[in-house]
Amino acid sequence: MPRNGTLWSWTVQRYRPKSPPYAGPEAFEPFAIGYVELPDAVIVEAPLTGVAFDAITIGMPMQTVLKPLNSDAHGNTIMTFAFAPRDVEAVHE
Amino acid sequence: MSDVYIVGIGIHPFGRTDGLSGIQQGAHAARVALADAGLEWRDMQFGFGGSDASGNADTIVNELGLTGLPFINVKNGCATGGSALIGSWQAIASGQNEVGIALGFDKHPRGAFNAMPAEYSLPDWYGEVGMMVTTQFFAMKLQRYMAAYGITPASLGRVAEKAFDNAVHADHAWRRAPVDLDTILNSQMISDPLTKYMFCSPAEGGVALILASEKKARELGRAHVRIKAAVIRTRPPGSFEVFAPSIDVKRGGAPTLLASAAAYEMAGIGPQDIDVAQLQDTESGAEIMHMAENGFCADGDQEQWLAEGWSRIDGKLPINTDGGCLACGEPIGASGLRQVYENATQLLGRGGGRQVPGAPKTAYSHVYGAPGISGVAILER
Repeated sequence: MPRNGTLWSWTVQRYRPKSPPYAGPEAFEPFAIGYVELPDAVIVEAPLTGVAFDAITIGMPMQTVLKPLNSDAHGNTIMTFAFAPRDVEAVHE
Repeated sequence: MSDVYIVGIGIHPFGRTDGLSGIQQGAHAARVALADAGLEWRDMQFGFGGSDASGNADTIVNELGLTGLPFINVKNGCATGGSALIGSWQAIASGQNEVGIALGFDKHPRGAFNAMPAEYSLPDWYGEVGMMVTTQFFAMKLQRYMAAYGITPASLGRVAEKAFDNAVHADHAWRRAPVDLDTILNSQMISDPLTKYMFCSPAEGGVALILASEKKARELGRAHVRIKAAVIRTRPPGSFEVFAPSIDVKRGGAPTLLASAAAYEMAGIGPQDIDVAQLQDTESGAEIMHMAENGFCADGDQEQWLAEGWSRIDGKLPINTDGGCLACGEPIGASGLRQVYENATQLLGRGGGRQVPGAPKTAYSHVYGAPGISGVAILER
């Protein structure tokens, strides 16, 4: 599966989803989600990270990253996959 | 198949009715529809009906009478009402029955629908990260559509403004006060680009329709509104539906495209022949996208349609004349039949302050919902 793609569509979750099933922190901060088209493979839905809401545009280059979602009862960090804007200049690093 | 007529219509007002169960609201609608047709419950030779969240419709015999009639429960998500209509229509068109009832009702808790991943065969993580939210799907389908076809937020606002303006004149609507465009556009953002006033809410209500053969309808003096088409369709490959962790790169059709084409073929008419339409408006953008998916305009033309008011009551194709889901709310089992009720009301000239001028002769209704299902009905006077 390609790690990089382009943003197909997006929105911002402005209110805290109901728990369960949502397992994010009680102190809610709005978050962006979107679909990213991985070329010749599939269009995948995931949270977006590392981008201001007003800077999100359809077609922007994105890459797969991990981001923390919450901590479990033992204090361990729960990670989720997400998409972040891809710095096209830095891709070859 | 022989012609089938809608000879009686009844509704329990949508919104919130404390103290009445969903099925009691369905029974109320049935009594109103029977009175409208000049018939009694014991005259019903069959029933088809359902709800999504308010129990089995056949227990309505406890409310209406133990006549022994055959009653088929329908549970088909957002197409529950449409499926009840199809069953009833076929029960008469086949020649097996002369008269029967189709009904739908529901009563949902307040707030957004709360779905759990396992109910949709999805892994738990999908809900844990915050993606088990229906409003996100509507927003993302719309974002892409707006970018592709130049639809502006002002058009989203105009759809909602029209809904509330129309509902002022609809006794059965829930939200019956006008809301101005600035208020709609500047209200709380729920899921970009959609604000609070651009979304419908889960609600309560009931609708019943009495159907009859042509012979029976003439006996009753009610051979006015005829069913020309009633179809439902599930999704084709490559469609984009709610709760999809991934979708195909190769994009495909939509269940609405299939249902619409089948209904036009069955009715032998096209979108240019329709005088009034009720289109699924779960949110403002859904009405806009469904205008094109049902063939009433090209993608992108909605911007001009809304600016010019062409879908208002006095426009060239009035859409959602009772305020649609935006103003009536969405009791899932009743919502599709509400559209048919409103179309029959318009064809009978009973619309009062929301009556479409010029005595409309053809009326189109369209439902869309999870998990990718669409229903279309066409009526003719």
